[in-house]
Parts: sequence; C-alpha cells; structure tokens
Amino acid sequence: MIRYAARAVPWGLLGTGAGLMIGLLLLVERWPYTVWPLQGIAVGLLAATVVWCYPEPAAALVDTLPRGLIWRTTARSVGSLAVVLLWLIAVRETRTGYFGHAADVAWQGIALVVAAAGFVTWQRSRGSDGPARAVSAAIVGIATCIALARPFADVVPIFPYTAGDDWSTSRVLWSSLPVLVLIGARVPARSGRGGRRGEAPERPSGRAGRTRRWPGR
Amino acid sequence: MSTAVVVARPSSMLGQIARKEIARYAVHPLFLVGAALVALSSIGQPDGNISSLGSVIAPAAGLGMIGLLVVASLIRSSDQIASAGCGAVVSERTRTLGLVCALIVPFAAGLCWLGWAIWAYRHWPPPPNGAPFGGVSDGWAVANLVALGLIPSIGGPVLGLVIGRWMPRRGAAPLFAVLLVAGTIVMQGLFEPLRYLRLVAPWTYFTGPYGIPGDDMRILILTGSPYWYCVYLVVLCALGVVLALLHDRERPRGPLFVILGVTVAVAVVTAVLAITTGVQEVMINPLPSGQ
Repeated sequence: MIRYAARAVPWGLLGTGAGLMIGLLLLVERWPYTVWPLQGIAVGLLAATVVWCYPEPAAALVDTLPRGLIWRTTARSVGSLAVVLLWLIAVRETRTGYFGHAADVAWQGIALVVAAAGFVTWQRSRGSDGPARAVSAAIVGIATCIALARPFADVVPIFPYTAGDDWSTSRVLWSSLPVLVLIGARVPARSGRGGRRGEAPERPSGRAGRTRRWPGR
Repeated sequence: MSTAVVVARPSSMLGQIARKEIARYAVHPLFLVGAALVALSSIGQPDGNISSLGSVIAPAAGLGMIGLLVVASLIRSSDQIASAGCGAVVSERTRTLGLVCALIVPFAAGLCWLGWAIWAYRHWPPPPNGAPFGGVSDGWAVANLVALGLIPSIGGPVLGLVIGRWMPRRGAAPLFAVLLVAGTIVMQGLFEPLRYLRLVAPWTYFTGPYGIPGDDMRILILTGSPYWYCVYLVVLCALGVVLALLHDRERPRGPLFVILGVTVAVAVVTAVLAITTGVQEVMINPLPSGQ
C-alpha cells in the first residue's frame, strides 16, 4: 500500500502546496491583524492540495483491476494525512496568531479536507476520473473570495476575525460541512459499487454516468 | 443527413470560437459562484466610512481572482477539444483570441458592479470623517472604483490566460492565485515602507482606515494617481494578452515581440506616472474615525 501511495500521489505538488500553506500561516502569525485573510486562504489551500491525492486519470482501466476503490483511496490518503499532519504542526507552531482560537483554525482545515476528500471520492465512485483540477480551483477560489470579501460575516462567520468575533457559530458551520457532504454522497454511493474489491463501479446511463469534467466543459 | 467540410476564413473562425468561449465562460460554475458572491456583497449599505470604495475587494476577488481560475480551466478544456481533433484545425493563437473575446463576460459583470458602486456612492455618500476628503474630488473616487473594481474583472482572467498558456501544469493556477493574493495583501499600503511604491502591484488601495497613533481607524488617503493607475492596469492587461499570444510558436512572433517591447515601455512609464503624480503626501482626515 505504501509503495502504491509513493507512486500514485503527486508528492511534488503536495510539497509545494504545503510549503506555501506554511508560509501563509507564518505571515499570519507575524502580522495577524494585517494579513488575516491569509488564514482563510491557507484553509482553502490545504484542502485544494489534498484533493490532488485522489484523481485517477486512468479510471476506466484501474476500476477493472483487483484493487478496489476503497483500497486505492485508503492508500492515497497517506498523502492527505501527511499534509494534514503538517497543517496541525504548523497551526500549533503559529498558535499565537489566531487570537486564542488555534484549535478552531485547525478544525476549519480538517473539516474542509474531510469534505473535499469525501466529495472527490464520491465522484470517483460514480465513475469520474476524479475532478481534482476543478475541485481544487473551486476550493481556492471560493475560500479566497470569502476570506477577502467576507460577505455577510456578521450572520455567517465562516472565517471569524479577532477574539471578539463569533467563533462558536463558525465552529458549528465548519462541523456541519463534512456531515452535509457525507449525507449528500450517501444516496448515490449506494448505487456505485466501485468500492468493492475487484468490482468496477457502475456506470449508469445518462449524464451522471459518463466521465464528467466540471467545470469547463 | 449529409455532412460537409466548411473551410472558414480566420476571421469567421475567430467569431465562432469567440461565441463559443463567451457561452462557456458565462455558464462556468466558478464564474457563477463568484458573481453570486459579488452580488451578495453588494446587498445593502456598504460598511465603514468610505462608502462603496470599501467594497472594491468583492469584484476584485469574485470576478478577478476567480476569473483567473476560470480562464485557466477554459484553456485546458479548449486545448483538449483541439487536441482531440474535433472539428476544424484551429491555431492556438485563434483559440487564445477567442478566450480574450470571452472576457466580455466578466467585464460586463464588472460594469454592473461599477453601476451599483457609483449609485451606492451617491446614495450613501461617505461621512466627513470618511474618504474622499480635503481637495480630493468625486472623480478620484470613481477612478478608484474603475481601477480596483472594474479593471480587475478582466485583469484576473488575463492573468489566467498567461498562466494557462505558459504554466499548464496541474495545480499551477490555484497556487499562483494564492501567491498573487498574498503578494497583493503585502502591497496594499499596510506596510509603510512599501506605501510609495505599492502602485507597481496590480491591485492596491488608495484610501482606507490605515489609522494613526491614538486612532487605529483614522481614514488616510495614500499617495499616487488613480487615473494613471487605471491606464497602467489597462496596459498590464494588454501585456498579458500579448504574452499569452506569444506562446504559439507556429505563427510568426516577430511583430508580437515588437508590441511586447512597446507595451512594457508604456507600462513602465504609466507606473511611474501613477506613483509620481496625484496626491504626493499621505493625507490624514482631520476628523476622528469615531470607532
């Protein structure tokens, strides 16, 4: 499994993303009031980096091989775990920059990683080759936009700022994100049987069954 | 049903591709999400003491930065279609120009935002302890809205064009977007040593609650001319288009290199003018911020 992960996971890309993410957190620690949006961007970058562990460009081929989707996904998750571990260490080392809410910041990253990895794996179980390119762009774009523009930050505090902001509501929002993704994936996952060893995923007819490229086509 | 091969002239080919790319951009999920976030950010009265001047970050992020990712994605799928040999052979330069035409979509969205921003500026004018103040006119405020709200709505996508053409590696566009935002935050005038030269950056504030000792939210007007900064940004956009076109090695590139040289020279001149004209001393609003 380790050998498979060593070959299948794009370690160079993961290292670049993780390095940039650590750089952002160091900037936040140095100037928390001035460059705070970088905290939210780092959360997005973490999840956007992790999704690159899961795409399988040769999906049509590997789905027919004895190793099932669950085995392959578990092996590929070694890369995700490595990046998440780096995230936790980086947040711990820069904890003075989060207005006393380092645990909340760490949880934001983990929640988004679980949601993103769950979404990509769900897409794989439906026959897609893993839309990592689109998903990573979407995560970075939306997280950056929210971190910078902070639409309705008083009502929906996604990336709270300073100790006086509503961190408890933010915690609830972030905790519900992976749950929502898993609930959303539950029904289609029943019909996709790609997770069982030696069995290719079902490819239902119509739009949902073909290899989808989202967004852009 | 019979099929026929139609040999189209380059101009009509460009028209067809442009229409297709415009449609693809307009329905791109990420563009729609970005536009929705801009619309959400524009509901109600703007926060702070600088009216809609404080809302420029919304289109810059929602249309510009997200536009960078959208165009990088469109380039990839456009190249995939071309390499699959579906339809007529279209040169890379024509496809790039087709994507340039598609920038009409974020530009139109940016214009809608600009219309709202000018209306909001008049409807909820900044208070006396806000900005602009002193001898700075409303024209300066409108130039701010154009430079920081409208032009980035095409500036970001143009950067996506350059990234998509020259760095088509996986993950390049999101990583570049993050680097761009980080660099932009550093060059916003928040760090005093960089304030004077901050206008070389493709996005920076001219006013805001930078604060003074004893009043952390005091409104300041920073140095530089937003009018020349608008010109500088437009030249940067043109530079990006030329750089993207230069990637096609199958067509003669000599004239493009000449245009590139001229554009770089004009960019340098306009950047110097943006820095050295207009307000030349940081202006501090004499009234306390009240916060």
